[in-house]
Parts: sequence; structure tokens; C-alpha cells
Amino acid sequence: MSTMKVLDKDYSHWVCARCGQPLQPATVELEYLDSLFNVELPACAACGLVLIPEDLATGKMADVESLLEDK
Amino acid sequence: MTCTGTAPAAACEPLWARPAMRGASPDAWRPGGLELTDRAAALAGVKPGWRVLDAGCGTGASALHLRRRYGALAAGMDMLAGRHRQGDVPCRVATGVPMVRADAMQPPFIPESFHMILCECVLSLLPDPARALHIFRNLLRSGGTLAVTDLYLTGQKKHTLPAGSCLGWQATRSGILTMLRQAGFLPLCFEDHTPMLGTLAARLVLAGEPLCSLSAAAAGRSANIPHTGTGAGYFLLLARRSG
Repeated sequence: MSTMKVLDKDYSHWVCARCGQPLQPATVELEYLDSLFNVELPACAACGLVLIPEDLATGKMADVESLLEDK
Repeated sequence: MTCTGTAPAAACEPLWARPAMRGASPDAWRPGGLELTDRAAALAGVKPGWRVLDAGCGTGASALHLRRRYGALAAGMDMLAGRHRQGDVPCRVATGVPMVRADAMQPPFIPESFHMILCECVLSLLPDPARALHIFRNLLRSGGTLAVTDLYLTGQKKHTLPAGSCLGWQATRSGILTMLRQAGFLPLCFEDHTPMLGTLAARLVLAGEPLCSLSAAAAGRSANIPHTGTGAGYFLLLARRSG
């Protein structure tokens, strides 16, 4: 399954608060109900913490949840 | 329902032609992708050397897959073969696949040329699906197999949709099976794969297609993949040429 780019903005200046490492684009699996999506999100290379920006959570991701829940 | 953006100016474009499809499903512009192609191939029992026609092949991804994985002599036919664009970007075409640029209603092949015809998310877009089935029957050898995937009405809700959308053909399961029999086919199986419709719609949203434009598609105004809440379903069927 191909990895989708879901963010338009650059988050390379963000730093992991725990590790102090800059966030780097990483392929992340998003799972919702029975669907699995590979998307590119900023993540800490040291601890793996993934950043999900608020506008993604309340935008596309909320839309996808709505779609898959058939609301 | 919320909308994450304004509907694109090109909302009248079919969904496969929109830039978001490049991210959502780069090679197979339909629900299920090659996974559903594999299901059709398994049910049909595709064998090495089979002559398979992918009618409405797009970039030729399915034909290439059938050649590589099953050893089939698969070829593609598409009105826009080699000329598809998504937004301003020309689409990548599968290499190593014979492709013919032709209208599925007027295929340039002699009768009984193929062991199998694959028609993925295309039948509903043809101007006369019933006549297309007759044409496909004539292209198949005796006992040849037709595999179709497409949208259908599940019967859960009533629709008033104009012609020109995938659901414009108002196809129900029983209507499709009747159309097949009238064209000289013996239906072998009819499987529901509606969850794949929702998954592709979700991938399109993640790739940037506004949810409201999918809703427009659901209303039959623009294109291929409706919101799953419309009572639209997605099927895979296999049928054998009778006689």
C-alpha cells in the first residue's frame, strides 16, 4: 500500500520534547474500524512519537471517521 | 457533515482524473485496487497463457498484474490509453502491456478472441451497459469468463440520480443479473465488497479530496465514488459465456 502525504505544512522545525530530536517525516499506519492507511507524518526518530497536528485531527481525520462510520 | 475545503473548480471531473487520486490509489483508480483483481483472478482460475482483455484498462495496472502474477496474455483497451491525465499531470502507463486505444462499444477484436474479459468500474460508465455485455460475450470464447466490478444500489435507500454518474445506471443486484442473462451469460457469483468503497473514499479524503465533493458525487453530479451513506454498494461478479 502506498504512503499518502496528508500534510501541506512543514513541521521539520518541531522538536520532540522528550528526546530533543527534530521531527522527521515517517510512514505511520493509521487504523480506523476495518480500514488501514499508510500516511506520512512527522515523528521523532529516537522515540517514535508521532505528531498529529490539530488541523489534521479535526479536519481530514474527522472526515474519514465520519465517512467510515457511514454518518 | 463537515467539509475540509472548498469544492474544487474541477468538481465535474471524474474522480479518477483528480489529483487526489494520485495519492489515494496511484495505479488502480477504483475501490479494491489489485486486491480485488486478485480475487477475480482466483475465482476465474486464470491460467498461464490465457488471453485476457481488460476493458477500460486505465493505465494498464491490472493487465500488467495479470501478466506478472498469473502468466496471462493480458491486454488493455481504453478510449484514453496513454492519454490519461490527473489534474495537469500525465498518468504513468504500465510498460510491457499491449494496449489498444479504442471504444469498448466498438472493440477492434475478432469474435471469440479471449478466455476472460475484466471490466473494473467501467461498465456503469458505458453509454449502453446492456449492449456492452452482448459485445463482451461475442469477444469471449465458448465458456469464457466475464469479471465485473462496479457500483450498485443496495436497495437500502431510494435514489433519484441523473444519467452520467456511476449510479446513474440505477443498477441493483437483480437488475445486473438479469442483464447478464439476457446478454447470454450464466452468472457464477456476485460478491459484495462495499467496505472497499468506503476505504477508497477515505483515502481520497486523506489525499486532499474534499469530503463535500464526494457528497456531490453521491448526488450523481460529478463522478465515481459516492459517500457510503447513500446506499451505494460495490460488487464483484463472475459470469460464464453460455452457449
